[in-house]
Amino acid sequence: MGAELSHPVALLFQCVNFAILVGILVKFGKKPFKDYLKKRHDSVKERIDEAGRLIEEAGKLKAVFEARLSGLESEIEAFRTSAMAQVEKERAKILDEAHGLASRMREQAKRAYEQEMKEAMAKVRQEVSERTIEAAEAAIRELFKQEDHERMVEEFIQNVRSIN
Amino acid sequence: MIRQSIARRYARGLFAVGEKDGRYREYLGELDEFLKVVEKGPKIERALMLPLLEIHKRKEILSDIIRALSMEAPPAALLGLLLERNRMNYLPLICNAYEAMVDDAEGLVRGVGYSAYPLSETAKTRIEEALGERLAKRVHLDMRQDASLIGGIKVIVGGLRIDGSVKRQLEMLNERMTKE
Repeated sequence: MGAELSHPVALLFQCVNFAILVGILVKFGKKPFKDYLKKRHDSVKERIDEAGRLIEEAGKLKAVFEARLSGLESEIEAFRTSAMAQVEKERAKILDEAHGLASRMREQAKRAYEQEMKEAMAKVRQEVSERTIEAAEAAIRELFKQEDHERMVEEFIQNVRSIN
Repeated sequence: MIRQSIARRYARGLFAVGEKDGRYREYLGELDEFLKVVEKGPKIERALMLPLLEIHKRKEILSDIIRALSMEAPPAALLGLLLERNRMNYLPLICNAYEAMVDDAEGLVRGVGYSAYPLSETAKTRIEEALGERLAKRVHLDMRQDASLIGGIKVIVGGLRIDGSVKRQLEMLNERMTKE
């Protein structure tokens, strides 16, 4: 019976106690808690703003890259055209040089051929001439007589006199 | 070239004396005779041309030869001078230069002729006359036989070279054939 009586008092005491605790907590914890919440609120808000700013920058960057990407096609085309023109120019230059070189080589070959032909012809003429002269000399030596010599001496004298 | 120039100077000196006394031809004969004596005796040639003996001994040898050949004073003086100056070896050159001066003074020009066959004296004289008319000088040819000419003659005289040989005609024919 005593336990039954003390129970409500204890409960009341506990309630009063709790109420006092709550009061103390409200009295002394309200402001720091409120500050904490404010600070937390500000921090979250700041991070949300930062995220918004980053999203906005990313959007701008995306726009820039998209613009660049769209210009890249024309740049590639311009580069390709320029490179092709350069290649064509180099090709024409190489072809010109090759033509010039071929022309010079043809000319040199022609000159070498003509020179060799000239030398060969000279050798042939020399050979023919030497053989002819040898044959003529042999024939003359066989046929030539003292009378012929005297006739030549006479001609020599006449020639010397005619030069005077 | 320098040796010939020196030889001409000595020859000119003797010729000036000979021209003055009119005996340049005789001096030439005496020099030629002296040269023949020297050339015929190798010992004499060595003694006079090479300065191996003492000068007074060489002078004695020279005097003996001059006396033996009865040489006149001017050519003897020239020989003495050559001996003293150790230039006796110039004597052949001096003789040649002197002979050219004598020939020139007498209007004579010497040359060499080459003939394929032996040449008669008449033909030689006619050739010399023809050349003489051309050069306006008397011509004397030293004729030599040269069978390589095949036929005809060739002369070299007074700066002239006239080739009337068969060999030359064949050479000309060869030149024409190779040029064409």
